[in-house]
Amino acid sequence: MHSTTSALTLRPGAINGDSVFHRLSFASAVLIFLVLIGIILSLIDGGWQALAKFGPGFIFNNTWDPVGGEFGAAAAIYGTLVSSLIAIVIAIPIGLGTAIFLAELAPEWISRPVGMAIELLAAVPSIIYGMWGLFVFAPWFSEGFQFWALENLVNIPLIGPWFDGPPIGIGLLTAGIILSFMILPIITALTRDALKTVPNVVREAAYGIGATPYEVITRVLLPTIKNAAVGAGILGLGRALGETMAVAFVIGGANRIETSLFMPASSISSTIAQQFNEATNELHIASLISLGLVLFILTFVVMGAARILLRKR
Amino acid sequence: MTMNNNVNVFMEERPEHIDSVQAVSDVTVTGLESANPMPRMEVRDLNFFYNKGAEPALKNINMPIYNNRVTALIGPSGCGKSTLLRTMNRIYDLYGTQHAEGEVLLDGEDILKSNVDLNALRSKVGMVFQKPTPFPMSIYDNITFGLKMQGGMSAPQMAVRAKKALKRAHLWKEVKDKLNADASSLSGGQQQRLCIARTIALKPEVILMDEPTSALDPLATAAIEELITELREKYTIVIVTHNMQQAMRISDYTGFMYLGKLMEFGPTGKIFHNADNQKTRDYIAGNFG
Amino acid sequence: MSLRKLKNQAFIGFCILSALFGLVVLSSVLYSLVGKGIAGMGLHIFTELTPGPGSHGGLKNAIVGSLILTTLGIVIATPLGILAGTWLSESNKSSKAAEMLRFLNGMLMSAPSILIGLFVYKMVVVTTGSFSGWAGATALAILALPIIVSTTEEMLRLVPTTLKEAGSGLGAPRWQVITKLCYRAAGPGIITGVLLAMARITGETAPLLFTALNSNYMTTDMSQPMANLPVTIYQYAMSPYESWNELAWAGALLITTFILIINILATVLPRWLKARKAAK
Repeated sequence: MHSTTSALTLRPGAINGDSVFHRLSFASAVLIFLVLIGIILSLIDGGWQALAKFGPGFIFNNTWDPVGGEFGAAAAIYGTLVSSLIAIVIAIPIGLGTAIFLAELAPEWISRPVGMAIELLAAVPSIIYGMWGLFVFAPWFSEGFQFWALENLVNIPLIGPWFDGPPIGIGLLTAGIILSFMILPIITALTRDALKTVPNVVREAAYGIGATPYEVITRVLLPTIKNAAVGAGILGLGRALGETMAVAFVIGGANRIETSLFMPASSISSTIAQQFNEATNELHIASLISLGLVLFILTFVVMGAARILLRKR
Repeated sequence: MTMNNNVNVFMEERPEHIDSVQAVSDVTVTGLESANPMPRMEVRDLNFFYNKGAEPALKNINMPIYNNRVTALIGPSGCGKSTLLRTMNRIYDLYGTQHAEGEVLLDGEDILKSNVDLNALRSKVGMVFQKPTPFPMSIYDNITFGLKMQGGMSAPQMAVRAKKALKRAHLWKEVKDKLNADASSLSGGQQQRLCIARTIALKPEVILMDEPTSALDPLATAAIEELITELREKYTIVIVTHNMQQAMRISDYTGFMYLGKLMEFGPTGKIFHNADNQKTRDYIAGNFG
Repeated sequence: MSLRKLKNQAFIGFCILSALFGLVVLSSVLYSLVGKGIAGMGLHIFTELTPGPGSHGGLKNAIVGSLILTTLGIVIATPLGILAGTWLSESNKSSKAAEMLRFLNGMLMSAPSILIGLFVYKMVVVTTGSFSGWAGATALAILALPIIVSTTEEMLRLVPTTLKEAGSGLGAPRWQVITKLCYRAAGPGIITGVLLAMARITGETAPLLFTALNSNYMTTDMSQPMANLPVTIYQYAMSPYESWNELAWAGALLITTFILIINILATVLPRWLKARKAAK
């Protein structure tokens, strides 16, 4: 018999690589938590002066007057919400249609390159969309749509006033359209992937009773991936809410609430981007940071909802 | 985790067996006369739990593992033979929820104690798995991986040890010209022999094998079986197999497990031809499992 | 019967048009980017500094600055992200703490980048008293971090448990099993994640506005405001000067090309690494 007794026992006090590594990795994980807490605290701290002065009225007041020292977030919140809403109203049907085309209708040799091209759209940085929107899209939009709308859409009841404004190419509607291009890839990718997880037997069963592709997709497949599709839409909304540069180029930078979607407006993020470095007095800076806090809460709620929906798939 | 499921599935599928088994109280250890060699390991009153408060997956196991002998564990799938094997180097310890009660002695020392150096234990009790598990690195680095972990060896010493291990695993001739090639470029049988070589490079005392040939073709299986028979002269081997012919061919002792219990343990010849326990005889005869 | 057919055809037509729509937008963006970018492109872009209003020059300082900021951001974020991702992948699946950190990581990933800029402004710029390259790199690192964390976790979870058991079975301590085996097995996937994070932060403008700011000088001093491509493109594109607009388009082409190359690398490199391993 070998006399190996105690060779198997741990030496007390020896350096334990496992616990060192575990602590290091745990500390790094906790860093995520600290950064997020840090963002919230620094936004509250930085915006405190404005929050204390204006109170809850900050959210409902639509005056933004750096010279007179009166600040309200209503116009920027309105611009953010409306431009993001326009974006998802355009991007959800088109994204869904593209996803269905890629996953259900197109043969492999078409869906692969087209799918890659759509993903390429997501890789283009937002500042490029902004430039393109300002220099290429806006002139075209002014000539090709706005003049036509002024003649033909303005007299329609209810929606007419939306199109009653200067046909200058930039403004709230343009911002919403550019945003829709930016969130199109993510909505497409998420719904396409969800469609691909639906097992083939489901399709075979539905086609087997003589249903058309339209019926199979809208009555069987889309209900199956309902949660994922809604989650993708909300995730797109969250992206649109926080997007800065693309919007800053084309929204026009006017702190007003107008019925016309052709009018220049502003969003929370574009206001911060355009005014932060030029703000000289402390109240102005604090008000801008408070705007940031509002944006953080908005996106946190929307993104949290999207994540919960996507996980429940 | 999957093992846990297996147990449950099995139990749900075959409730009719439970009653008949509960009648069998303890293990029947037969035919272990004075000619037996020394036990290298000893399992005493072992109970194993996959989760706190769950039904034990192993119930009151007692068995010796004899020095320089091949011990085979057989039984229907989900009976706990892999679980038992995995207590012998405490590999189950990787998963926080699993725990064992009782004693598993290695050279008289209880390896279930909390102050056991698991890394030292596992270099003494090596393990070969069901599927070949080549590491994502070169053949040579695979062999020296464990040696580097142990430390205290110069590069030339390691090279000598690696060559010996590869020779002993009958792999040297096939790989000596491509030691720097990626291990995944080897065939399945070669990969499994590489895993055996990697284990014996550490000069373990005991080698645990968990169905080492179940993923291999008949030729590769024959090569591994031949290897195991040879390795017996230097090492103590415990092998889990669901192939009864294999157990008969290569093992000296056999333990038959059923529903988490060791039903019978004894010399392989006796278990296969003259078992005491009715359940063992039924299983050997192919009446179930 | 014919109404069913009509509906079906209208539906298929809509789906095809949708896919075409995305393609049209992409080609228009790329067409104007290449057309207008090439017009302003030339050797002077790489050799001359950013010019004053209305005059001519290049983007040398902005290019160098962007390379420094992006590289530094990735260098800071990669080890932290990999470690954090490792912790998440090693943690018990049902662990509440891991669950929460995973959720927070998702939230950090989707936090508007301009808010990251404000946070770093408060933490670094206000504390040190000046805009700086360090502040810019920190902001970019915070943007890259959650991407690296989540890909690392995903890739490590794909490493088969048998590999880990085999490593432990040879007596290797857990941290060695992770660093020597799991990282190697998950390596190609993690590299993809790091490259995608790099592609993401290369084009980011908003978080640099109040951190690195911008500069007309060539500097490698990280404690000073640092020139960078995105902010330069923004300022020059928004300006009324023709020569600045032209530089902005050249910069835009440059940065998009760079990002595309990284994206292609991110998909090709892991495959190439695997193929090379198999060939050996």
